[in-house]
Amino acid sequence: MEMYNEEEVLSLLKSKDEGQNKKAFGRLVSFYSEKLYWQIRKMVLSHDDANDLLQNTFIKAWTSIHLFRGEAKLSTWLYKIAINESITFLNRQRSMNNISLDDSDVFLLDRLQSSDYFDGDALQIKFQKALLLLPAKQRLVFNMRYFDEMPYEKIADISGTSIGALKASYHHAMKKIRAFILEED
Amino acid sequence: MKKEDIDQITKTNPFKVPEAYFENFSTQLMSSLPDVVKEEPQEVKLWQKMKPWVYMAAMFIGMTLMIKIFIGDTASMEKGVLASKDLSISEIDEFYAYYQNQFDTQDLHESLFFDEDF
Repeated sequence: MEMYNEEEVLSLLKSKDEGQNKKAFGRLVSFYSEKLYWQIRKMVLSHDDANDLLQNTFIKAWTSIHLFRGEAKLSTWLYKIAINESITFLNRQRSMNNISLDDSDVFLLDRLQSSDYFDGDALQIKFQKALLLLPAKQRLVFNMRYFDEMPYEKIADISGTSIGALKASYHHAMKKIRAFILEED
Repeated sequence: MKKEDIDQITKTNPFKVPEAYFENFSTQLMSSLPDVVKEEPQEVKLWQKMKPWVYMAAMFIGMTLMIKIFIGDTASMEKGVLASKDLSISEIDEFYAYYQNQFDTQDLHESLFFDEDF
């Protein structure tokens, strides 16, 4: 695999040569697809949905790359698109399933259990349920921090929230999850 | 159950992806990318750039003319009244004398006219 150099990729993306643009974008896709995929997957749970959303994310990035002004990092920008796509998707799913916006995303769990691409045990399913009980934004923060151990500064950039609020949100989420898992044991 | 036990179980990834999913993803995506229609920045003509300024200038000119017509005249009238107060007596005398003269000549003409008629 080619080495990924963000500055180089960015300058190639901005060049007028379309061939170069596409090539650079290809490098960006192979570098970020896995990271973004897991971020989306943890939000929507199903592989098929995550696959669709990941494609949408990159297509959106491709069609609006000229709007990227380089004020933030390319990765932050991509994460933002991916997260927006996921949240929009979840909201749409909720309205399609007649679930109030205030309710949790537990309905996703049924789909997960019937999916081929999930092999968690009972405890894993319980953990996923605890996660789904969190509000979408809190779940997002939790995923980034707990699984990816992303620094708070970066999460703040992506989510547009202050670090203090993120820390509070994370600890609150952690508490709720732990209580949920231990409660029914 | 201890915290560490929870962590150990929950941090393992229960999600799976189809075989060689990530390897194939970028090739598949790259072939389905739409052509980007690059929007060329539209050239703004000089007239379009100047238009608001020209309109504004025209408006000010119009306003100045209106003020001249409606207010400017009364101002000069007032000025005239004021000016007559400043006239010295000799000037007023001159003025009347001039009128007198005018009247006399007119009188003369009239009398000539009448004389011709009858």
